[in-house]
Amino acid sequence: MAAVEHAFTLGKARFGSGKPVLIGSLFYNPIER
Amino acid sequence: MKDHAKGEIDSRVLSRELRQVAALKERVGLEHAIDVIAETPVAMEKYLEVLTDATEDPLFIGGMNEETRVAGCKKAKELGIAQRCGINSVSCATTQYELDRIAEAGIRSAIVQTLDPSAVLPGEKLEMLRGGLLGRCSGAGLKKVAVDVGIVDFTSAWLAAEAIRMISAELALPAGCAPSNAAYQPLASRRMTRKAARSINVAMNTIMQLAGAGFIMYGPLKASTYVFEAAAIVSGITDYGAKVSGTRVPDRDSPLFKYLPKLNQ
Repeated sequence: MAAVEHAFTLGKARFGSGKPVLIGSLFYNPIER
Repeated sequence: MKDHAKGEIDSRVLSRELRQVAALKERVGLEHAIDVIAETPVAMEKYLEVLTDATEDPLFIGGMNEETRVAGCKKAKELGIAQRCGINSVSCATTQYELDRIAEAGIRSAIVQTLDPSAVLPGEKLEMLRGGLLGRCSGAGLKKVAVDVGIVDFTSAWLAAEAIRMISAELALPAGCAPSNAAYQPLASRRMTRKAARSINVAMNTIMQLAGAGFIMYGPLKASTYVFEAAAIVSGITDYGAKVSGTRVPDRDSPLFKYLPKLNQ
C-alpha cells in the first residue's frame, strides 16, 4: 500500500472523520439546477 | 458567470452563495470544500485570486484540461494557498508532467478518479488503485488522497456504493462520488422536472452516505440550499448508530449534536 494518509485535514475540512465532506462546484453549471 | 473563457464572475452572486454555504456549515455541522472548475488557464487564475479571500474552504483545482490545472497549481503556490488546495483529479490518464507541476506547487492533496472502462467493478477499481495509481500519487508527494469511485447513471450508483464500501474497508481511504452527475441527466434531456431531479440528487446522496462516503460532490454551490440539511439528517442518524453500536465516537461537531437538537426545540 502506498504511503497515503487514511484520514486527513485539507484546510478546515476533515476527510475520513466519519461524516462526509460536501463538495460543491463553482463556475461550471451546464444545467440550471 | 459572465464569461467562462475569461473567468469573469458575477461577484454579488458568488458572495451570496458563499454566505449561504458558510451559514449552512455552521447550522448543521458538516464540512465543505469547493471544486473550482475552469475552462481556461486565465479563468482558473482569476477564480483562485477571488476565492483566496472570499472563502476559508479548501479548494480543489478542477480545470477541464491539463493546461488549466497546471496554471491553477502555479497560481495556488503564488497566492500562498497550496496547503488548502487539492487537485481534482488525478487518474491513470494524468501525465508525469502534470504530477511534477503539482509537486512543484507544494500541493499534497488530490481526489483520485477511478472512472475508467477497464475498472467498472469495485474489485477492479481496488486493483487499479493498488496496481500503481496510489503509488504515482505518493511519488508526486500527494499524501492526502480521497478516491472518486465514479458514477455515470442510475444503475451504476449500486456499483459506486459497493466500491465506496470496499475501498473504505480495504484501503481505509475516504471514498465518494458525484451522484449529481447522474441525477441531473434527465433534467438536461427534459425528461424530468427540476424538483424531481433535486429530490433524486438527495436520494442518491443518501445511498452514498449509507455506504460510508467520505465526501459527496453534490453539484453547483447553489444546490447547497437543498442538499446540506438532508445530508446532515442522514449524518446525524448514522453517527447515532455509530455511537449506540460503539463502532465510532462521533465528534463534537457532528450533526447529531449540532443540528438534530435544533429541530426538537
